[in-house]
Amino acid sequence: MLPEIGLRHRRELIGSGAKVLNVTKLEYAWKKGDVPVLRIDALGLEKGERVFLRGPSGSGKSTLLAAIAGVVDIPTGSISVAGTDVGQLRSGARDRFRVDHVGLIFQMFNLIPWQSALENVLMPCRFSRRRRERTGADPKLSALRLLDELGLSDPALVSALAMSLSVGQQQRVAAARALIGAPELILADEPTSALDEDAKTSFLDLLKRECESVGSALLFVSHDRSLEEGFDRVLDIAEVNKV
Amino acid sequence: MKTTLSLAVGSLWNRRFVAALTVLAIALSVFLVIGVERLRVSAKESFANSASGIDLIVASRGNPVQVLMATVFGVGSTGPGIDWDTYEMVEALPQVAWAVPIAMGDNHRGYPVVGTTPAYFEHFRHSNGRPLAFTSGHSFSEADGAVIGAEIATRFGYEIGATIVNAHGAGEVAFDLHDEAPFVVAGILMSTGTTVDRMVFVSLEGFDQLHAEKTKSVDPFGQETSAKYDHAEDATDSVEADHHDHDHAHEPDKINAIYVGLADRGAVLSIQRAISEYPAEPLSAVLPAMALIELWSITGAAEQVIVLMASAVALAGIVAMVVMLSASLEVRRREFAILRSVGATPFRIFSLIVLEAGLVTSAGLLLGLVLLGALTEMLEPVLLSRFGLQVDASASLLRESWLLLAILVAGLAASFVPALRVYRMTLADGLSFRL
Repeated sequence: MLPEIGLRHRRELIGSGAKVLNVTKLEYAWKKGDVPVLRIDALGLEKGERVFLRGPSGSGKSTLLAAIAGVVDIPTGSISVAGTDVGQLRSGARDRFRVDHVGLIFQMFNLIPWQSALENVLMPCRFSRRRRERTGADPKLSALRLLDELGLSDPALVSALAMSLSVGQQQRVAAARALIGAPELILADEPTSALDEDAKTSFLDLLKRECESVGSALLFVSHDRSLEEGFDRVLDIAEVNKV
Repeated sequence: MKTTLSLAVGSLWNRRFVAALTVLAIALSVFLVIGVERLRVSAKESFANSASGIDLIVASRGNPVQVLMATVFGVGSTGPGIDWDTYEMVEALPQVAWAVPIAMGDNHRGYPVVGTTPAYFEHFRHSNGRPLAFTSGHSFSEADGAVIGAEIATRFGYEIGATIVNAHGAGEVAFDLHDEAPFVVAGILMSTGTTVDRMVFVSLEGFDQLHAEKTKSVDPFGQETSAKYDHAEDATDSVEADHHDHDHAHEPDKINAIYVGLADRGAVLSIQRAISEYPAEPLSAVLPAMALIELWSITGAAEQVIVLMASAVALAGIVAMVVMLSASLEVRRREFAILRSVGATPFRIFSLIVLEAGLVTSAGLLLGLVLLGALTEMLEPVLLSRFGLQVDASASLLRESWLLLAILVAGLAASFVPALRVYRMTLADGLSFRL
């Protein structure tokens, strides 16, 4: 187990001891017999914790996120999300499990271009009953509130097709989609890389604030050291992934 | 399912231009396949209807199909013709309920002229046993009276009392007009959708007079012309001569065929044999139904080619859809990765593609049927008057449903090609995608 370093505050949220994400003795290669691309002894996120995972591209960050999200086949007993061993689930079940418990934000092109911003935000609620029920009475109200808090309150923007939005607006819509229905874990893969400097910080602030308000843990992956501020822990992929 | 449906509809709407073109391609192939089917069935039905109610056609010995084509459809000719004695023999057979003589070989502006007796209008049946009816006028009672089919009446605007002139031979181009022997229209028949609409009926007497009055024949085929002339001389005598049946007041020298109705249909084979063994001259007694079956076996190959071509067009429509779906896959890779990130299983994405194919094909089927319905509605009068085709949508409903189902299934099956590609692609891509 890696020592829990850098836990600074928000103990009321964290500290229950229940891990939202627990990676233990994970070894993963794209093909059997290949040199493994991931070899992680221990990586854990507690409830509501915010972790910054730093590393250059090609260091296995995206593969790690794919493994956590249950997109690639991993050995049983190596990754558990919200108390469930992801490696034990069959592939279809992993897809359903993912939407129930994990919100994802990518670098760019996060949205279905021909749907409106609001429809995009509501997507997880259409695929997951759990996410839908956790929004409360009306998923739409919840989506509008999230969009509003992320600075997209203009009704014209909300109903605009995703492809007509700016990159910054698209990323905020993507954040709202990841957050709706309060999944336990948000995985963000370089979500700010397509944004300019001002947009980067404001996006990150909004993301952190919303994660806190819905109670989701955040695993934020980036090569950009200037974004490290305000995370509970900062990890270097080189220390975590011992390939 | 609801989610997949709305995603499929939304995605298609996003690509509505290409999707609409694909729907149109499928609609056109449906239009062609079903249209060909309807025409084929209607043509067959129209043929079958034309010969209904006749149990046997007696003519001089020849191929049954040729006899049927010549007598019922006025196409081609029946050999040398048969003697009036033969008619009397046939009529006298105990199992024969009625016998109607048929003389052919002339035309009116390309339409066949049939010499017969008023009994023809009584006994001829069409379209599931319906008798002939007159729109106006009545059967001919005078030698120069004529009854015309509905199409001839409308095409040339003939009314009761109109004078018409016939020509010798069966061709459209009349080299040899019988303008010295005109007929007066006595009756106009109601439209039947069969070849009767395209025929002119005159009495046997009138038919013969046509030829009798032609003193100087230039007909290279007519070796009987002079004989007929002689015969017509005493035609008037024979009127008074004898004959119990006043229908047969005129006794022509030769006729081409006899339509026979039997009192007992079970006797048809023995009658057929009796007639073919008639010693005075070689005869054939043709069962119209059997001749039709033989005809279908001849036209079957051509029919199959047409059906094959229509199917090829349907295949092209489906290929167009597969191309549309496949071409969009690369562009939509991102869309699929996003869908997977929000919980769509690869199978769900597979079914999304199949559903899109199902929607496009169904829309195509629907549009094709609507197009066909509209066009049939528009062209019905033309089809009926020009070709005697009554296109009846309900005629081949069962077969059509099978065809439509086959197209739908083919569309769905074909969509498995892109859908399987997507399935493998989404498995390999996972949540990442190359741009």
